[in-house]
Amino acid sequence: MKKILIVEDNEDILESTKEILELKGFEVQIAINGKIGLALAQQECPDLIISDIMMPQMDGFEMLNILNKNGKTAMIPFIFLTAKTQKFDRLQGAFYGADRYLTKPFTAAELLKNVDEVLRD
Amino acid sequence: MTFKISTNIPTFANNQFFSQFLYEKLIRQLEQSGIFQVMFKHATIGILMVKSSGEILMANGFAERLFGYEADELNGQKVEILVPNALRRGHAKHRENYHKKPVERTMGAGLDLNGKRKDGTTFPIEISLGHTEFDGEKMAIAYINDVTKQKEAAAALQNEKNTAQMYLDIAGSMVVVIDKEEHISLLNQRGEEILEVAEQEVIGKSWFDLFVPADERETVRGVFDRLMNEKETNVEYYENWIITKSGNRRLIWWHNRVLLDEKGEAQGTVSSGVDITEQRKAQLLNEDISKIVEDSLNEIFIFEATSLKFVLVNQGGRQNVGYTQEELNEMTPLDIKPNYTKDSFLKLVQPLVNQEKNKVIFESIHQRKDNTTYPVEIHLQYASFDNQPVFVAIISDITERKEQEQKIVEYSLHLEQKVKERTAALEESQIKLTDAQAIAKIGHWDWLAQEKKLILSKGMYQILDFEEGKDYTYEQFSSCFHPDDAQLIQDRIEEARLQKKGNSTDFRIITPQNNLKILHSNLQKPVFNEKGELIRMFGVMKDVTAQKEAEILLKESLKKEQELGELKSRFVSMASHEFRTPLSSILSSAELIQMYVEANKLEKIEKNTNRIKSSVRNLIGILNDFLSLEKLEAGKLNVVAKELNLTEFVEELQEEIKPILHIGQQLIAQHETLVVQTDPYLLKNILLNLLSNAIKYSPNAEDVNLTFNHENGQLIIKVIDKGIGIPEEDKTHMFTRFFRASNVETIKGTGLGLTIVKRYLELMQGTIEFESEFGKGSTFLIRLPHHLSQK
Repeated sequence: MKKILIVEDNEDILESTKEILELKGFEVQIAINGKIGLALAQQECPDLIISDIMMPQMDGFEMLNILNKNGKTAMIPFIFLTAKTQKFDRLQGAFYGADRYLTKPFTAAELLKNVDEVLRD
Repeated sequence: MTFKISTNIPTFANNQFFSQFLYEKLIRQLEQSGIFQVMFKHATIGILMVKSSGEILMANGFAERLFGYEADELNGQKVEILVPNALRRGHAKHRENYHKKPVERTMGAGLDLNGKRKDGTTFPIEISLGHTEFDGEKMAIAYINDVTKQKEAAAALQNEKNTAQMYLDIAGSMVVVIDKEEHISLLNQRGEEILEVAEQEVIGKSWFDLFVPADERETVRGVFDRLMNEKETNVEYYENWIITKSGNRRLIWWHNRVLLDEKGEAQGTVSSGVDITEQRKAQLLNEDISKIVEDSLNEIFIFEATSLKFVLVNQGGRQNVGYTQEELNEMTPLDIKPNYTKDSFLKLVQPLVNQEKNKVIFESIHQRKDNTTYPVEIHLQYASFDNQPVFVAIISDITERKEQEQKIVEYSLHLEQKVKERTAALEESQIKLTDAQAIAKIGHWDWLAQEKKLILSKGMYQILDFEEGKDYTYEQFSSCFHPDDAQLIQDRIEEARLQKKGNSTDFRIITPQNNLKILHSNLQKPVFNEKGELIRMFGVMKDVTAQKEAEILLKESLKKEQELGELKSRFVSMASHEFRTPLSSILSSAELIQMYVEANKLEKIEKNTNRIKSSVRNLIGILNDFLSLEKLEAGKLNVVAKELNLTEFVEELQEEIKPILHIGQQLIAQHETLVVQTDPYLLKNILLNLLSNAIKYSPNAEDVNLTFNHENGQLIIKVIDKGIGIPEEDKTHMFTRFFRASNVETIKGTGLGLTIVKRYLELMQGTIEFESEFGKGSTFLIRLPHHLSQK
């Protein structure tokens, strides 16, 4: 069973995303900001991380940047799930080495398709 | 009587022509021939033979006559009777000494000896002594000469010598004697003075080498040689330059005489010289001055002070008046000055005679011999010429000048005419300018600093709303300056004065009619006089109020345009985030509901429908904010004031705010029991906005305070939180649409709340301000005007 870590500060979105993934049989762990997400990622070493960008304490970019510096966590597939739709933000995401950049609102199918693709690679 | 002559008489002893032998032979022959007796008797010298006892044995006739005695009267007398009384005592002693060691010698050498005559008178004598023996007794023979005449001659000679020396010494001329070897053998006192030497230091030295300049030496030596060789030119006048010891050149005029010896051979020259250096200079100067006067381009007339007759008229004067000097000698200035009488002329020169003035300058007319006249300018001075008081008149023929003056007069008349014409043209153009200025709302001003006079053009009067025809001072002018601009204007004027160049500036005025106008001022380059003092400032002003108003309007609309652009981009970025998040939540929950229905997990549905409802409410809130703002900006919102009971109002607020409070967070409200006259809808919106902010931005659930007070007829409402605060750099933007502080990113918000609050308060004539410290909390303070009544 694949283990997915969701990092998201909006409670509604965190919950609904978790539910969608659990319905498809993934083991889901959650964090409400980048700082907690980073600690969990290093501790649990999930198979995939899905993260928002704008969060208190530590944002998604910063978290990914730190993860990239550690050999163990650098290899974990990474998907940004964000309300930031500007071209500049997409480039930022690519720069930090995220595998996918999904924008809100998103459909469950869209999310699951990307999760499958990333995990298969 | 025979005498034995001593053989050792020294007189001849050394004579090379007589040998001792020949001498003795001669003496013997003389003794034998009785010649001695004849010689004794007729000798023209007094001879006394005196015994050692002092007794005169024999005196010859000359001696007896010399001393005034009769023949043979002296024989047997003591020799001392012939000695003046004062010397008598000493004489006996001398006599004895002589006999102890008798030698041939003159007596009393170096002394002036005197003999005493029988009559007691004394006379100068010369005595020489010899000695012999007669009858075994020692005998002295005295040869006595009366030297009265010699003494007198010597004295006379000495006197003459002294006189001559005195003449030499006090002579105005220098006297120099040069021997044939060209050596100086005499130089008198005047010569010492001129040559700046002492006689001793130049005696025996070459005159030519010492005192004649090298370049003249040959010539002067030639003169000397000619004198020495051609004795017939015994007297020669000659002048030449000499160089004194200190190197001064002096011109000496010499009178030379050749010195001849007894054989008529030239031995040297004696020259007397007069220093004529100054004389010559004066002479040259005189000649030069005479020439200058004669050649002067001015006409110079010199005439006697009393008779007024011309003494001298120079070439220029003679030529112009056409008279000869001979004719002029009999004329006076009155003869050539037709417009002067003797009286009027004397009156003219009187100040010179009285020495009240050094110079009289006047213009007059001179009449020529041919009766033509010419205008002259005369410089007249009083002077002395050949020790005679004279007037010296220096005349300039001013014919040309007069013609030019006439031309200038004509020209200036012409110019005046021109100026009149131009003035008329100028006046016309000035009228046009005034009209033009009035139309263009332009005026000029002219400040005459020395006279402290302000001149304003008609245009300026109109700009300043000044009363036409009335004079205004600078102070009245400057009192129109807008108080905020007065300093600026003063600075610009000062700047122009210091930098000596013009400048331009815009400023405001408030006219006496209380109109605010904006002027564009062009200050011209100030004018200074030669002392560097400001004499004039000049400037042009244009009323640019209308332009400025248009400019301001344009700027405002431009600003609005820009703001709209910014608003758009801020809206896009806000909408991107704030709309997408609730929409995303709605979509996810909707899909989940479908999934749970399919999976028959109905218990999970309610949670998701609630999430959808909450997200939709969130979206409606955002939408309402937009609508409020749109309404406000379209001016569609009206304030409807009602009586408002504060206690009830606060209760409502508490109720509405409850759902958004953090867990453990409280709204603590304090209020007086007041009934306020205000719009309850707007006030509630304002406070809900502020309170929800206070709650949102207090993430650690610190309590929020709400207070109502009244102060000076105002309702004061404070919303106080201890939340995240506002960063310093963001404070100025807090009421800008869509602006959100840099520290709120993760807290939801549209950036419209405070904008709406501010607009509402503006409608209600209230104000809002805040104090905030980053990380420590914020206090928002609302003031609403008085419409309140206590209950």
